[in-house]
Amino acid sequence: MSKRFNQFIGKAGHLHIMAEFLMRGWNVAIPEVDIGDDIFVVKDSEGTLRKVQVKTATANITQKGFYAHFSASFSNIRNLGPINTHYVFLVRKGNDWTKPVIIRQDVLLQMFQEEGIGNLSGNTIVYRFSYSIDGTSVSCTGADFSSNINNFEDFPIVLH
Amino acid sequence: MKAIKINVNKQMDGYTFSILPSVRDLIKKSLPGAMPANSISVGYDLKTDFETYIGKLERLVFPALLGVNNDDEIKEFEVIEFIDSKSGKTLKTFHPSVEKI
Repeated sequence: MSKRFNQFIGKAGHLHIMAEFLMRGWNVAIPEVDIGDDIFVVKDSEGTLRKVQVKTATANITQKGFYAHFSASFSNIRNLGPINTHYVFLVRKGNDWTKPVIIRQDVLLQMFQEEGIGNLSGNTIVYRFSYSIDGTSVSCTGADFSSNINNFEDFPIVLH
Repeated sequence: MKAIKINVNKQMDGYTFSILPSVRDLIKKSLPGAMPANSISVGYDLKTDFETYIGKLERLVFPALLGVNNDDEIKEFEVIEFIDSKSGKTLKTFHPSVEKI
């Protein structure tokens, strides 16, 4: 797959998850200047702002299911500010997207620092997500991430 | 109680003090009445000298961040470390059980 097509997949992933937030009643915006945050997700009525970083990858099929590699900047993950970033991991498998795996920044940092989840390479943490065939369970470095699938806990549905 | 690590992150407009979810869980378990927060951000406009800033804010920041409000509860924490979240270096260490904060 060409480097250029990776950009297409990345943007498609952004738009896919933006659509999900919209369907939950949250407004979305893409920052004019890209300095690390992919999407601003806003609950208009209260002014609640959440920052979202989308990570996309393509599936590698195995006998037991499939896996995907994601990379994230370590300096961004440990840059804990007033608003934590939510990382959304999406895999393109065939003609479909997997359900998003959503993990907050401080949880990712804790997983790395205290449980050794993810491999540090330079300033990048590389994650290998292993999915079951039907995509309903996922693990990384031996840790079960299944509870993070479709984990929109911090984005409750807003009724308009 | 094991060492409580408070992450200190210097940003463009101030400092953010935060604790990881595991620390919040530990505090809630050890002190059921505690209401730990995710983070507290303090703008530079309060103080320009970081050293002075940390020294003066310490007694305000960590009780608020850890969600405890009396000396007996604070003394439950044997060690509190302020860690630079970018470098991992320890900026300051306190022993509330033996020293006056």
